[in-house]
Amino acid sequence: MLNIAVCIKAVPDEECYNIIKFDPVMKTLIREGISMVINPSDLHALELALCLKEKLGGEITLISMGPMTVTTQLRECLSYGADEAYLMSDCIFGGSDTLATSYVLSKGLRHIGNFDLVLAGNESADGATSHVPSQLGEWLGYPHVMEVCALNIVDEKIAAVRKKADNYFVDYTVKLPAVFAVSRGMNKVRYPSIRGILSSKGKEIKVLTAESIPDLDISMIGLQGSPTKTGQLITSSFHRDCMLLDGSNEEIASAILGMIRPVIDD
Amino acid sequence: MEKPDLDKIIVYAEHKKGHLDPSCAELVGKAKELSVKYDDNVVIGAVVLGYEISEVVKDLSQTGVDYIWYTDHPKLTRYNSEYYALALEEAVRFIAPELILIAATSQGSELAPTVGARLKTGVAAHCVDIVADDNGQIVNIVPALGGKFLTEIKIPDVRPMISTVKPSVFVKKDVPANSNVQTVRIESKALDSYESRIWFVAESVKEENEKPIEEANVILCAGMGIVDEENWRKLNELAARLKCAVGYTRPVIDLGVVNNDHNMIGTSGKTIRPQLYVGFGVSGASHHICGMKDSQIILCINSDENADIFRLSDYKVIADCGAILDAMLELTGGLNG
Repeated sequence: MLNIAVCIKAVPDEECYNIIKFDPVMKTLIREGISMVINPSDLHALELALCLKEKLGGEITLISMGPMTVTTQLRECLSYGADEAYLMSDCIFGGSDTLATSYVLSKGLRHIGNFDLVLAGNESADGATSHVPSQLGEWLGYPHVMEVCALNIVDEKIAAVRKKADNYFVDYTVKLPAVFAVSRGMNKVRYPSIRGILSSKGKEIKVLTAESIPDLDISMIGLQGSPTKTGQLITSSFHRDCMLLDGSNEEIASAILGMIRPVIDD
Repeated sequence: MEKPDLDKIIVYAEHKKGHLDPSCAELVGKAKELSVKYDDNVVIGAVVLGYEISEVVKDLSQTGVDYIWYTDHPKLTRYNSEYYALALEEAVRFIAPELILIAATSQGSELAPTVGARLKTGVAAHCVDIVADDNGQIVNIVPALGGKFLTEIKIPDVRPMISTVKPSVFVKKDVPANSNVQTVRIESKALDSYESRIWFVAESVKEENEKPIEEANVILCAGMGIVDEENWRKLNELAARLKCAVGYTRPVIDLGVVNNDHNMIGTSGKTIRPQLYVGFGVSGASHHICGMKDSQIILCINSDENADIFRLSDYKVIADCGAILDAMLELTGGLNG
């Protein structure tokens, strides 16, 4: 029986990136009309949890930090077959950077129970710092491995993992409990079953506020607990004057080869 | 310019098989550039960890750094995130720098947030630039929303500040070697007593002739418009004949034609700046653009004349990329080689 926690983040839908506008006066994103989705990498972490549960039995607990609207994404995760979901939501969590976010999540996980595995997506689609899994491991005092693309449980105390490292792979065994950041290449995410969708409707999403966690150090969370301060957003616009290559396919191919050949590597 | 609180910048010097990672020179170049802004009044140091690394330390002394701090310990024989984080944390506490630059390689991407958490300080991830503002404060420029926007990150109150930078984001500069480099060995007490909970088992062998995509002069890049496995095979055949590297976008991985994401180009993959980038069916999503926008010449083939990638291209071809691939194969030894 494995107790598995999966960290979930709601992010703006990538499909909406091209319509996200920037308010030049307020220096913020205009989020209106932007739909939120489950961070794609997190679904691969959830898929791993579901596979492990099918094989070895256990419980899957979801945890997220964010506004109350994230209940939508957590409910969707429940429909895949997770057992429980916790949303850490409190306005004083707002403005947390990765250090503060991982602190809040670590306190939430400690409050909920004991886990053998804590899984997260390797990176979020929006911030993409890939900091939270390692930092969560540090706060929890667990070993942590990033970019995990294969994982097996050897016994209750040990996991065997394959980590993608630049252009090669490294295999490790890791003492549990541990935090693993799951790479998107690890698995193919299933579709939720009709039964899963129906049963998720009735499940309660438990909300944890700052008050729910007695030993939460307020100075470590939100803006004051965040060493990094985010400044202005700059619209990154790149533009080059583009010339059309025209002609028959053969002429075009010849022109492209004419550009490639002088600069190819030795 | 005044330097309110910047005395030391250190670069984490990664090395593999006795060779310094190319990112090291890129980071030292940036540190030097920042130092010039502060009237050259900043010590530029490097930290290097490993076992029996005297050669690496020697190479490092030629990179233009003023100081080298190194920890030489059997537990650092190969990269282990726990031992390396412990040794780096120990070195940083000893050196007390204001700014640490770490390459966002596989290793650096683990070490930076880990050490950041241990020191309870901030880490700016995947900086595309690091500058000093008018008040002498360090400003990190980082991509947001997959590179659709850029944003500034400052770490005003906590030291050290940590910045990570993907390989190839900064151009390597020739920094003259300092003839009077100070080398300091750090004796690690913490490593002696710590036993890691992560054990190395095995490492996949990298093909010797496989050059990192960051170092390729020409990159043929597949986008979703490549459509199927047949075109993917053709693209690889063409690349093999021309000795070019092959990269791809995220949707190509999702198509299932690539079996790993080593050479994915974009915010969560590699950053490249080749002499020539040729995109086949690349649409131009912001997270991909973020990883290839600094290519010297960008040529793209796409059947959609309104593809976003054309706004960033020097040359465009509005055509089916399969047909162009066929024509290019014909001209390089025939369709079937």
